[in-house]
Amino acid sequence: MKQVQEANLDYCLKCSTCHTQCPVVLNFLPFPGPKHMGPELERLRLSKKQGEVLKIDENLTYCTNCKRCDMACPHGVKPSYYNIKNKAKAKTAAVQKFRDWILAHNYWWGRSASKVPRLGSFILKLAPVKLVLKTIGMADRDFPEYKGQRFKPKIQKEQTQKEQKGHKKQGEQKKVLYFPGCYASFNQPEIIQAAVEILEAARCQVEVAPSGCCGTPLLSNGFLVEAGSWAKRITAVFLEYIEKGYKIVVSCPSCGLAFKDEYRDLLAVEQSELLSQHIYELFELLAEEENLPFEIFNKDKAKIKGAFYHIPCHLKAQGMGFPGAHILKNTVVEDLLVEDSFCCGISGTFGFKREKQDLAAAIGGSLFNAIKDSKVKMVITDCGTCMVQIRQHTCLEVKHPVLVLKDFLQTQKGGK
Amino acid sequence: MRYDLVIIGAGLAGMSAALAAVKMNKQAVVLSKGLGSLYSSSGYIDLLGYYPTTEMKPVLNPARALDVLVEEKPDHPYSLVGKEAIREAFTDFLSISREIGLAYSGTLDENILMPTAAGALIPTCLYPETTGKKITEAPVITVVGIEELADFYPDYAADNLRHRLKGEVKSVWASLNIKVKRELNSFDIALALENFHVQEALIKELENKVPRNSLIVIPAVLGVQNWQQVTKTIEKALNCDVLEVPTLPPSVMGYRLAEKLQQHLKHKGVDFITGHPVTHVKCSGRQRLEVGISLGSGKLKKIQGDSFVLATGGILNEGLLACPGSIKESVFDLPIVNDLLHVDRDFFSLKAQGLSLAGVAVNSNMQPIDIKSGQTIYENLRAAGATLAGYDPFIEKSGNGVALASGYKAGKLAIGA
Repeated sequence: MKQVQEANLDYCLKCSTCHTQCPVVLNFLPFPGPKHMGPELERLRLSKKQGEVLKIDENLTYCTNCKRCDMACPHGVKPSYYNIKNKAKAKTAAVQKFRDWILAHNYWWGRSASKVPRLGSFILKLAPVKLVLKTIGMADRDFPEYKGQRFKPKIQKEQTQKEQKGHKKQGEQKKVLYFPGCYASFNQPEIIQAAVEILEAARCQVEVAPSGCCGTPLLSNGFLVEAGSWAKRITAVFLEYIEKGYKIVVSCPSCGLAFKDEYRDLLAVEQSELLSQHIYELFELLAEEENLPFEIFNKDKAKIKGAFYHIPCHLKAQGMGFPGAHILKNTVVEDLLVEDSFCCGISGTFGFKREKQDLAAAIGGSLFNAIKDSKVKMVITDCGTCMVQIRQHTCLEVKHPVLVLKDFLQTQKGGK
Repeated sequence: MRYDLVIIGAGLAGMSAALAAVKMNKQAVVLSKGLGSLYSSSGYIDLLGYYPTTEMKPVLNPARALDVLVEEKPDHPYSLVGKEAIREAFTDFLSISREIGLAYSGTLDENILMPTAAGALIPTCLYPETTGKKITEAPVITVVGIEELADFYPDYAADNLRHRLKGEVKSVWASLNIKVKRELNSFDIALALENFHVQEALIKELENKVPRNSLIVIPAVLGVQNWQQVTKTIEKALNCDVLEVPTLPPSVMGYRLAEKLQQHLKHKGVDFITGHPVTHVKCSGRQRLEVGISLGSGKLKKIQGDSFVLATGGILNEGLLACPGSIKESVFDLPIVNDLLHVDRDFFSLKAQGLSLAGVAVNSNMQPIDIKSGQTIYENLRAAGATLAGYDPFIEKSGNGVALASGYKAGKLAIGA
């Protein structure tokens, strides 16, 4: 753990601004809130013997790691850091631990199930399977369907190289390693296809990283040691690419936040600081480098009229602003309502836990109401599980921004 | 992307600058280390509570006292902002407050006295409409404490109020029957009171304890979103007036104002990037070109703008950094008017404290200036709020007034209006 973070509890003035921003406190009064669970109790913990755990720390299973407390603090204290660290130490019932372990390893299940997607999705819908899942504490809700990977990275690579030759006159290409993350890899591979097409249209030479998990589910379920070893492996691979001049691009907010912040702050992975300098959210890259040429858009196509852009907590927490929303606003969507005030409640695996499911729905209530009030027909959001949650509670079409943008790309093959 | 206006600081001064920008349809961004101290504030907008400050009597007509202040103190932020601009900022705020669903009442020409949680009376001129009840004129006052709420003691508040008021003051406790095994603060109680059943419990508790037609003085816990409704329900049921009193942080009255303003600005297209301090500044000659915020792991996010407003607050909010023997401005390292020799050993002295007076000196265009030469430092940088030098908000009771007025003027000039 980083010394910087350990020391920063001394800046807590107990103003409780973080407490007012906690989506869990807002909907579940028994949760003592980020100030109390974080800096306030940490003082007490530090005075105890190492390894001694406070009874009250059991409440930490309610922390969704949304980071809203961290963003709220006027003095730079990060309550979520203490919460995640101590959640890992807190005692939990064996069944719950087992259930959390299963959820935390979504990558394994995703990887296997997406090889036989229909079977995978089918099995999850079987009554006996549902019963077993229920017994171990899984929420009674639809899990996102598994999809086979239609995308073939290798072929794409060849295409890229061909295109690279064609583009050479127009200036140097940026080398990009695109990391799709679990949701895009196993549940919605169209995102990968769209992301690559957009990056290529913006004249990047794209390579797609093999499916892998950033470690966020492990981290937020308290498996810090395992998350640390995953993070180490990923960091080593990414650094090799970075040395060759690649930028690492993600389209999932939680993957982005993990690579940028959590590897350093929570997992203390060596060289994570270097890694984070080269991590870009897809739209962040397009906006910052000003390399999204407007001629790539099909201007004849009618713009989308009215949409609601839900900024996921982990996108907001990255502090890069809302480059995706700005690009959509300026190019393809008219009257885009950008809203970053709400958490959808699902928080990755949180909303898939039986005892948390209703709370997750309650947390998302304000967001769902805001969406309904806006009377839009389409919701746009970057995060896979946010999509699942919003789709389920509003019955509207929910799309990843790359899928929205992709439809407006000029078709390059025909040279139109 | 390039913004018309980059505002650093998300308190009342920063948001006031943003209000000026959206009024002219300009694209603004608010960058802030955190959510600012408006969340901990009373929610009152004081123009001027005490002037001259050594006088123990509160100002009755702040606009008139302001006339004298402007004459006597040419370096006071109010003098630099100017009376006309102050009036405009306050008038605009009153109309915006209705638009955002948190209507404010009051005028610049009258201070009314509001009770504090400790039972003191403080002068203010703009206050939420629901608190527009004059305690000084109430014949019967009942101070209500809530058993589940830590940090509010009705007997203590009532005792202090008795010395200051003509009316009869009594105190009662009420239990809301909230069974949660942890200490609850005012924000928690306000959340609970959004629930109809908890409102009922409160009314039932008070029915036999509160005389009809009395003024109920209660900590500000009557709902986070629906306090207008909750207040009315209780008033109707008990046939009384209900006056909320700002509490210790988390202050629900400050929260309501901060959240409503923020929501309004976001819907008008203002971006808020919260949680990361500005760590990088770049300029060319006398123009600020860009600022940058350092993200979690030290990566720099650059933000370009045509003009900039600095509204990072005073020492409490780290806009000014108190170091041994000196004070520094935390973002641009601007020159500081520093009167540390005048530190009064008496903490409660009614003479201005050197530490409070310290800050960034500006001209009447709100541009920071070199203290000796009076020359502007950057043409497109303006400062507002508690970062400014030359006033003591604590003894004057002028904090939110200066923030509102100077923020508005800085924002307006910054976008060239």
